[in-house]
Amino acid sequence: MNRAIIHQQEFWATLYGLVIAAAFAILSFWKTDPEVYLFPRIISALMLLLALVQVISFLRWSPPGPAADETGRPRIPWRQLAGGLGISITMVLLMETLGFYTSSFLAFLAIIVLYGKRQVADPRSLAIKTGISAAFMVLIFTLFWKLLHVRTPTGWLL
Amino acid sequence: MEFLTHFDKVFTLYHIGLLLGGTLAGLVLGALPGLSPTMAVALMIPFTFHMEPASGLILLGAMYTSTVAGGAISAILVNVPGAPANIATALDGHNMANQGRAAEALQYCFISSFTGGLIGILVLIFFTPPLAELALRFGPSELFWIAIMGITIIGTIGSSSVVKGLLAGLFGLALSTIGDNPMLGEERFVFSEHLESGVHIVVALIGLFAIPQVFTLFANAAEDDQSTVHKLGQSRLFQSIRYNLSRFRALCIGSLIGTVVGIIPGAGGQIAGLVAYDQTRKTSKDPDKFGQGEPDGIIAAESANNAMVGPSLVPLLTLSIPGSPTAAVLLGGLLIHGLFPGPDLFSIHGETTWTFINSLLVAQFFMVVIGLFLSQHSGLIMKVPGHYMAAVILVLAVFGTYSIQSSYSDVLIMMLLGIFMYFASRFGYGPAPLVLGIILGPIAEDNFLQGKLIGESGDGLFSYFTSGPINLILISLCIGSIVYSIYSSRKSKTAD
Repeated sequence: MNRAIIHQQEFWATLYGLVIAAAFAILSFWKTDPEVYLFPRIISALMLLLALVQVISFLRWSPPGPAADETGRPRIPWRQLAGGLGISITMVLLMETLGFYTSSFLAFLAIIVLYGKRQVADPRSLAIKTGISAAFMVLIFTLFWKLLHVRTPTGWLL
Repeated sequence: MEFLTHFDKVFTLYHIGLLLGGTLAGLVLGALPGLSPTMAVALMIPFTFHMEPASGLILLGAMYTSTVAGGAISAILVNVPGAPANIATALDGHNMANQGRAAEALQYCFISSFTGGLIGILVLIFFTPPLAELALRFGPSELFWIAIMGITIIGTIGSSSVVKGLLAGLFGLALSTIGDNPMLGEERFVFSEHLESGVHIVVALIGLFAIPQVFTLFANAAEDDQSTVHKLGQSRLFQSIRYNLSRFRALCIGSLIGTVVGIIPGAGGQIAGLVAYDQTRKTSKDPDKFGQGEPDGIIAAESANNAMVGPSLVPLLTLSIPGSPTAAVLLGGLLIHGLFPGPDLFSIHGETTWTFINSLLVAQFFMVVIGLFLSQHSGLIMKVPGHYMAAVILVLAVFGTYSIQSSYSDVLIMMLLGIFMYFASRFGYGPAPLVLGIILGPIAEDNFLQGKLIGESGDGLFSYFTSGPINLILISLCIGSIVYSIYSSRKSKTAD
């Protein structure tokens, strides 16, 4: 990896560390009881110290470069990631409303359709994928609900 | 020889079933490129919740042992190591596959994994109890420094950057303080009802290890099926066993290096495999053959990364310092089942602990038999598309998290931690120090507050935490690991 790419990555890494350390320090020190928050305050002070060390070492780096690696791919592949990330969050948010198995079925199907090679409109492929998703749900329902007796949120459906 | 008296607990039908299932699942998950052993063990922990501690630990131990060996399958067949520990295996293993000798390479891999693994577990059996006795001398100040040392060592030696590793460890400690103050019982950082119970260890394990892997599989989905899976070629098992055992030097170098590296906290299988490979090449009569399909390369690397498994549990079971990231996850499994590392493991919980350790020994036999059988069908495993794996892991992660306390809040926290860790890992922050911070945080805080009370009623806080030979040794080790990591990172930068 060339120095310009490392610089770009280090910039975000430093910012990430600094924001987290600063946020935790504010939450630990601002309007809190020193006795109750003693341990978090010590940790936050150490975090701030390390974040500052990181800032100082970053400032000694080379000039900035592009936000991509040597193959030309972006460091965070938003385009590929966005769909899956959205499905995952939606699944968790809908879990209590629709039920675990229904939301899992929909998420499973959505992921394999979205990231599959064939076009979404291909009815045969869609039917196979729906069958695979349904079979997987039946399998985990039998295993978790019937055999292990673990109750999951049911919501409107199951 | 106390361990011999507890073998009967391993050979029950139920435990044999767990060993079989754990080994098979571990080998398959290890063989799937992109799924790490650490994630596999983390994902399995919730399923052990309703089991007896010994049964749960048998399942987790079998998975830990076999995922490391399973990672060699993808390293050999598609040149993608299933785990970092298998990087050295790919160097010669994939070249053998290119020459149509994939079956032979896989056989060497499992036989040497078995040999190395067996030696490693024997080290675990004989070294752990005497070391655990040492922990009897520990009071609050020593236990506090032990927790800090665990985080420091994983955060420095086990991380690419000293500052990032330590920051991640401290952030883990910070997350562990969410919820009630252990002395005063007052709430801290509870801004929402979802945070009332704090961050559960298993929720953190799944969120930090499984969810980032799901997102990585999404991100890499476009690259699926680009690698070629090699045909296995001719299989001559008995010839391979004979040849493998005749490569005594490679086996010894691998097993010895794996054992030593395993005992060093934070070093991990990746280092073991690469160092053993390098040493075997350097001492070989034909070093030029290495990297072109030399069986000794596979034998050294695989015996090393499996010999590392047992010894990595020595500092874990005695001092609660994990020898590898997967051992850190296993520490979470132990604590959840009410087992705290130290002398109690071999006195109060002796039966459970010895059953667990003995099961690791038996798991080596299951691993080699199932591994050799599975390697004949490994081409099929390689064909599982990444997005299907992502979907399965996502559903299992959500289910596993919810099943811990039937809490929707846990699922939300798990997902948030997973999203946070995915981006943090892109910036070079590793999950292992963070997880260890969450696991060891309560131990560090409890003992710090107890030590504070003792110190304030005696010679003072500073004196209490810095006096005594054990305290001084532990503080020196913390400082030593930081200084060593800074020195080695400066050295590698200068070399670049």
